[in-house]
Amino acid sequence: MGSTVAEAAPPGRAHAASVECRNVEKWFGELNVLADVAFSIPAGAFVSVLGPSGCGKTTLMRAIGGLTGVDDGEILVGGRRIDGPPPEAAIVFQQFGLMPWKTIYDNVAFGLTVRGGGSKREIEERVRHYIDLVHLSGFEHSYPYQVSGGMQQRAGLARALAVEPQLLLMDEPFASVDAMTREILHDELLGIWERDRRTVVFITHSIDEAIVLSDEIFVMSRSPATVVAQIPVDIPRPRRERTVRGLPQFAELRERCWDLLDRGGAEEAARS
Amino acid sequence: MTAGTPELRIAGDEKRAANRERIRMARRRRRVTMWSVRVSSLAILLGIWQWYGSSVNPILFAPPTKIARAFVTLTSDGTLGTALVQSLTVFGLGMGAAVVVAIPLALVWARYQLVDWAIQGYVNALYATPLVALVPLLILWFGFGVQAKVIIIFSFAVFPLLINTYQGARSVDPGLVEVAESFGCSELKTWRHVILPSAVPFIAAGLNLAVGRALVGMIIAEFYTSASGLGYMVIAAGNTFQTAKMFVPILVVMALGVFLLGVTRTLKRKVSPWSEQEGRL
Repeated sequence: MGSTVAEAAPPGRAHAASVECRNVEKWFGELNVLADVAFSIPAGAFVSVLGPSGCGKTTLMRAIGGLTGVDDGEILVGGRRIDGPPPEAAIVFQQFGLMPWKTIYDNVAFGLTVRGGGSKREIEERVRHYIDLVHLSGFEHSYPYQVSGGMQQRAGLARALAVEPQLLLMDEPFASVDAMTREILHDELLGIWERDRRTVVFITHSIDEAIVLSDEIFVMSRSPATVVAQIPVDIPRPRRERTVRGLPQFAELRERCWDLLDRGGAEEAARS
Repeated sequence: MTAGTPELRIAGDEKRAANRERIRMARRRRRVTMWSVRVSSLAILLGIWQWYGSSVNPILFAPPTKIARAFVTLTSDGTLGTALVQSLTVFGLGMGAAVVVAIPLALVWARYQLVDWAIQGYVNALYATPLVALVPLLILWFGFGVQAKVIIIFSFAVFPLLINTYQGARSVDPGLVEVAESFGCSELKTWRHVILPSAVPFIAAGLNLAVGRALVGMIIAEFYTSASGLGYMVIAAGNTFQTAKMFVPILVVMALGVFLLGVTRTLKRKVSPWSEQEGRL
């Protein structure tokens, strides 16, 4: 495998950034989407944001990614208040977000090219490295429509990793691939993350996925969304999906998350 | 995909090969049928034409043999070649000017709301106007020379290009614009990497429409302005009742149209292979 990215990074350079939300509030007209969201994620942590569909967790991710402003409160990435997309972050999108007119190679190179990530040779080296890492070698010259959904999302992941972000934002990245591919991608993501430990904020509505991947799960309630619980996941690493699923903690954590999500649902039912 | 024993694998390979062969044969049969139908349809058409064309007054109609003879005469004395070059020159200039003006203008139009409000009404009104109605006016303004012809062709070609490019730049996937934004793209880079490429299939479709309209413009311009080009050949032969000679430029324009539309259609497929596959995305 050669050197990992963490080793390759110059000594002393932080390769993971902390994230902090202070009383974040967001409205869409009359609709209160995010209410008093407050948490802090230490540098290098893998945090999943778990919530029912349409609860506002994607809005939260877009706010951290600087794609949408907040109406109150503030968001800090690496200790700095953000105003627009923070240069430390890269996003992996739910619908992959690949340019259909670019080859897999050019898609992976996109972030580096527009951010001016070094000379042409340096870019090429890095792009090859990350294409290799997500097992897309041999498909560099294919177009997105010529490869499967799973492979498209590998390219989306490689594009984000290639800019070597200190914060990786992932918006339900595996929601639109089939279950078997998803499990493979989980294990690959675990392998990649466990080597270089960038900060990850992972949006999902799958309890299992959250447990398998994260150090900590933020459970969100529905409308207005707020973090109702932060559940640490004390499962040792390195992890693999099938091993994690067999552990007694897995079932316990699953129950806890279900209860918390259920309570949110019950409150919702009581209000209406 | 691995079969258990070597024997089974060989049997599988043989079946696969036989299947491939069967599909190839079926395709070939289909091609043979298609071409025999096409050729016989053409033969029947020419036969009827020949029979009917020879039996009526030669002022009204001409059989294929006479048209072929006229074609040879007009080619060998250079008349057809000269006319074709004259027509293609004004066509090329008019189309070229339309492309150069329409694409940048449409991009500005799509980008700036104020420009949109200012010009959208006029563009739509002019696109809806049968432009033939403006030809006498254009002749009044620009005379009978090459300039007038180029401007007439330009005015026929420019609107489909304008409108298609505008639509293309407007219908860009907002998700992809967001991707660009998330990687810190400037406005200019967003245009280069996202908006322009996603407008390319629309521009190619606009080019296809524009070519068809520009050909109409070319013939009309040559009917009404100074004596040159294929359009004039049609008029000149018609006025002197040389019907066989009249058919020659008509058939050449027809062939030119088929050729140019084929080129732009191929171009559209080539520049945006993904847009043919949209359903699979």
